[in-house]
Formats: sequence, C-alpha cells, structure tokens
Amino acid sequence: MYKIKEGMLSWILHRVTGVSIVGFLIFHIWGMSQMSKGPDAFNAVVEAYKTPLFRVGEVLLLGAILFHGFNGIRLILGEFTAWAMERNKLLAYLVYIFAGALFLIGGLIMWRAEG
Amino acid sequence: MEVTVDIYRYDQETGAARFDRFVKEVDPKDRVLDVMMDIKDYDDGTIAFRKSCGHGVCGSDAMQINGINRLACQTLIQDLKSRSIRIEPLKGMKVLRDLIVDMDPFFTGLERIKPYFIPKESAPVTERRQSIAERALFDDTTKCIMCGACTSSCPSFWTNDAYVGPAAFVKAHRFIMDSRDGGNDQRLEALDDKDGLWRCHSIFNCTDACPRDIQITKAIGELKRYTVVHR
Repeated sequence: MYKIKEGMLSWILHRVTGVSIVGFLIFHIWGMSQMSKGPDAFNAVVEAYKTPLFRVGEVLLLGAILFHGFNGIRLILGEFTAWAMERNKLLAYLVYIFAGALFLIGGLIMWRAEG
Repeated sequence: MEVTVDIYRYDQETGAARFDRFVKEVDPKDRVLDVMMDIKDYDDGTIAFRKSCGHGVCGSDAMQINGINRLACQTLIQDLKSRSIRIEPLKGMKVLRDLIVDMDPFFTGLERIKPYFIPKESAPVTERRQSIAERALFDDTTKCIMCGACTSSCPSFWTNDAYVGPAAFVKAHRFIMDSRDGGNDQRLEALDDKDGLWRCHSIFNCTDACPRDIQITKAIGELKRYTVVHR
C-alpha cells in the first residue's frame, strides 16, 4: 500500500466527489422529470426529499461540491503558475480548511432548516 | 537499536509472494541499504535486489520503503522514524524476483521523448553559447539519475504502463527548455498524446518520491503550458 500524502489524498477525494456530483446530476434530472408528471407526483418527490436519507445526502452533496470546487481552483492555479506548484502542500491544506469549515457551517444550517 | 525488517519475496517460477522477517541490531545512522546488505551477507543470501554505487548516484536501488519510493542507499534508519521497516519492489512494474522489477515500461516511455540532444543547426566552429538565465531554466531537471522512483510512484502509471511517465517528462523538460536544442517538435508528439502529459493529475507523488528533490510536478506543469502554447 503506497503511503497517501496530501497530493494523492486530494486526487482521490477529487475523483470520488467528481463522480458523486455527476451521479447526483443524473439523479437530479430524473427527479425533476418525475416532478413534472403532475401535482401528486410533485408532492411525492418533495416528501421523499424530506426523509433522513435525502437530507444526509444533501449535506454530503454540499461537502462534495465545496471540496471539488476549492480543489479544482488549486489544480487550475497549479496548471497556470509555478507559484502554486511550489506551494502545493500549503494550498492543499488551505483547501481542506476552507472546504471543511464551509461544510460544517453550511451543513449545520441545512440540517437545522425545516425539511 | 533493534529493528524489524520485512522484505518482499517473489519467486517467478512458483508465482508465490511472501514477506520475510528479519530482526536486526542496527545503528540509527545506518542506511537501509547497509541493513539489507547485512541481511544478504549473514541471514539470507538468496534475497535479490539491485544496487550499484551505493551512494545515491547510479539510481539502481530505488524501492518502496515504508510505503514511499526512495533510494535504499540514501535513507537513514533514523529518518524512517519507525522500528519496523517494510521493503517492497517498485509499484506498477512486473516483479521479476524479490525486489527486482522489469524496468522496460520505464525506458520505453523515456525513449519516446528522445532523451538526447538534437542540434538546431550543424555544429558551430566554437562552442554553443548559452546565457546563465537560459541555463537556469532547466537546471533542476538535469539532476535526474533515472532511478524510476517517480514513475513508479504515479497512480496514472500504476493503471497504465504505456503512460510516458514523470521521469521521461523530466528528461523532456531538460531538452525542451534548452535553448541549444532543436528537437522540440518531435518530443511534443510524444507529450501531446493520449499516454502523454494529460494523464498527469498533479498528484505530486513523483515530487515527494524524487531522491534528488527535483520539482517534477512543477516541471510537468511547465511542459503542459509549453505544449499548449507551441502546438
């Protein structure tokens, strides 16, 4: 087992969150198409979204998007500047801190909000 | 100081892999290679690994030590900060025996980028002049000893050994950024390829593994920008 350092951890998380977000988008479009089938179908979908499973999913989605977004900025900075390449570890930790902090704050707000 | 050394063993004929454990009394300032030579000399002479100069120049003894690719001859026991040492062959290449791997995919990638000087014009009467600033552009990538620690630390290489690989990119950088060299178009063909530069996801394992501290991912980034601009 190769030791997982900052760069590889970020890469694994970037892949996992990326694939998850694509999966969400496909599911989201399917959900929207269900909603368009009439008032009863609309209400059924909204009720389903209020269940704990979906609420946890929504909070996790926030985390995935935050990490993927911030880490994407780090990668783009690296592609364009030597400055970012030389500070990879620092930037990786900044991504963890920013994405983590916003995830905690945003997740708490979302979890407390009425379903 | 007593350390436990677990060494990967592989027999190609039977296809059986295992770890052999040796408990050794060592000096913290011993290098991993010293301990391995001691084991080979006094405990088990059948252990196979590559070493040549033993001083971090030839690049023969790159191996995975406690989960990171490094040179056994450059790694002090005290720097591992652990009393258990786990030694495995380089990842992503076929193991031939114990710690010896088939380096062919590594050298195939290297050959693709033409790792030699291709002159721009016929040789001048005097030397080929180069300014200090021009030389500085590729100073970092001249340090490569081709040990393979970077290429075999790369997840992109683990899943696809046709990937040109970090070591070849370092060599490509060394010649592409050289003002005297004229073979860039030929090299860019190998770089701007499905198995080329764009499989690099800036994972930085290569930079972490390099025993010569070459900023490999940074060099690859410079090549990416160069390729986008010049091709």
